[in-house]
Amino acid sequence: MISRRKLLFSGAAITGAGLLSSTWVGSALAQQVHNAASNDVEQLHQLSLFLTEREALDPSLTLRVLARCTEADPLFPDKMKALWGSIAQQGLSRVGQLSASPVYQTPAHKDTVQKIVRAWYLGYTGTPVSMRAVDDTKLVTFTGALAYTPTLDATVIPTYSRGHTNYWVNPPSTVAND
Amino acid sequence: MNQVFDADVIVVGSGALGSNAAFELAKHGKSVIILEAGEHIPRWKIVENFRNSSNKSNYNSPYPNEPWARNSYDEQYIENTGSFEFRPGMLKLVGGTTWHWAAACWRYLPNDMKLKTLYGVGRDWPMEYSELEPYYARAEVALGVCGSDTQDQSGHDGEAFPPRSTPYPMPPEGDTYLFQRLRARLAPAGYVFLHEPNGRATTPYDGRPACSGNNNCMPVCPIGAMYSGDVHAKHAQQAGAKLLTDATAYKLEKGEGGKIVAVHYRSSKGDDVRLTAKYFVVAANGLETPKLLLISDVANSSDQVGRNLMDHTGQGLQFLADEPVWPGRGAVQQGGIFNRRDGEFRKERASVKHAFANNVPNMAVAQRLIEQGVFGKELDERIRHDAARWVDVSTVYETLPLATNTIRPSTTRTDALGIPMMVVNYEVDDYVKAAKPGVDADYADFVKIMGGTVVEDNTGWQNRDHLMGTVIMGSDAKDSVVNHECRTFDHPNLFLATTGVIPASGTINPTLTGVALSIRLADIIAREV
Repeated sequence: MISRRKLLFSGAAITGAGLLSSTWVGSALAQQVHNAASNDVEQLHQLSLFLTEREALDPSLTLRVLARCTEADPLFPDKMKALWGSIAQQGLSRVGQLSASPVYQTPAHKDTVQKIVRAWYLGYTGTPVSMRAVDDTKLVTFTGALAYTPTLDATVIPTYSRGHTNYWVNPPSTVAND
Repeated sequence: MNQVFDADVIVVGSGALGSNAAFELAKHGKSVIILEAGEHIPRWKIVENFRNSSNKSNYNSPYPNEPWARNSYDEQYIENTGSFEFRPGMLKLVGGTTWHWAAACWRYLPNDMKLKTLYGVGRDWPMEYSELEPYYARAEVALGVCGSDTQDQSGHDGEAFPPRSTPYPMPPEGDTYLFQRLRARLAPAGYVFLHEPNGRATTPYDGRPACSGNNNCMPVCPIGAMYSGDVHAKHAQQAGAKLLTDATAYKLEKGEGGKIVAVHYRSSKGDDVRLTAKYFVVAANGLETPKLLLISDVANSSDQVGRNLMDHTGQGLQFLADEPVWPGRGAVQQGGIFNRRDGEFRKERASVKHAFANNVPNMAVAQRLIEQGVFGKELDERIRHDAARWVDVSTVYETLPLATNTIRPSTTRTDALGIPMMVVNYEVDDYVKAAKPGVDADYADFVKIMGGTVVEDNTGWQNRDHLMGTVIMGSDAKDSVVNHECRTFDHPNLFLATTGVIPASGTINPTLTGVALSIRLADIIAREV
């Protein structure tokens, strides 16, 4: 994990791209990432930190979000930059101000926000179609999906149990304050 | 002169039912060939497929969907002509669809098997519960079922019921906190909670570890604590059965005396093979079995093959409780409410079961909040808050066999082997609809008692993937496909090992009953071969 400042000024995005070119990503995705302007990577990372209010985000996942979103919509980098520009123009300092702001009332910006946040939290892009073999979804990450982190002390990421038989008869130790 | 056969018995299908029949026959020393349309896929690979799937809510996604062995979510697999989109999640690989079934292992009640006699609707089974009971006991041992020996599973809060000759092979798992809290608040209002007997090991069993709560019974248990049909596909092979994969049966060949003399299969490599045997067991699930019979023009003098298609058509409810109940700890389901499992009301309307899902709900929770425009730290806080309070009710209805609910071979679409795909016509009837107001009232009651906020209470009718009725069992050859032995009336050496034989659906998951019937038919065949 690297900080936002480090990503911006140390060339960490390039390091991330190097990670992506390894076998676990796949050559097509890696190629798209190499083709992406490093400026796009940096802006998406900043925007993602703003939208998620996380202290840090995995830069390799930023690259995957960018690649998957761009794969689905070649204009995504432009839309992302336009969104970031509007957020700056409106002077939004916290994401909590976003949904009530004029930025979010603009359908194109709202759509871009939804795509980015969904990719980070749900771990995929596209729209799942039930009971069909084919849809337009693409994996970003499973264990890195941010939707899991708020409950990691209480529930599992499916298939990654840390407990043993019958641990579930007790509630999480935090239950009184949940 | 003695005729030479390729095997004593050929079993079409390597799922839980076919593999258990094959294992029993092989144990009796019979030579057995199992034909499986799909391939053997090791568990680790399915788990990795799941982890890398972009649509994890699609339970077929980690499994093969080959042009020569399509799974049921393939666009070409089923064409629906009715108002309901009938599309169960069926698989083609060694072990069959019990790779993703959550392992409910219920027995029918004696009354479920006398529906016509007692309530004047549907059909009776051509056998009594007492005749099936010893085979239920064997099926529970085969599948490694854990359950309560003291509960009244009729839902009437009485003595242990139905009668059992043996205890469950394993004790039940501990109650989840979710189950405890729902029961504590809903039971005082009269709702009868039952533990769901299930095929998840609570102690090491038959090479399977005890469940450790990976919360992924569907689409794949990563450690094999949950039973899946590959267990007995392996046992059958170890007992001497020969398993042929990439072998899709497409024709049962009739011979003299009404007997079936051969089965023909094709492979993706261009093989087209004829195999002979003394007996044949078709165990290709409740859709593929009638399809094979129809395209072979066998076993259908009653004109009932492919008719009477039943599912436990269902609906669902999601709400947020007013306290943290913490779903997602343990297996994905544990039991539910059974007040309406049996009673005089069945003269008028369907019996009903409410089950509580115990899946980690974070994805559904997060998706809903993101759509609402919740972001940043508030989103994280709300995910934890709502995930802790998420209650997901899954209801199933008893259905009746209707001759107009059908599965037919397609006349316009084939797979890569040139074998027809399917056309299904399915309508939800008035017997089910008459029970819906009671379910809606229950839902309102659940939400009220739990201080809930409704997320979704109008899902419409849903698939439950319990295929029954399509090769219906009965006592009369004029209106039934098989007799109580699962032997086809038209062909004395052709047996059907499928939940498709079930003539009265009740409300409970039918797989254990299918396995019990499969073990029983194997005993019958073994005596005759």
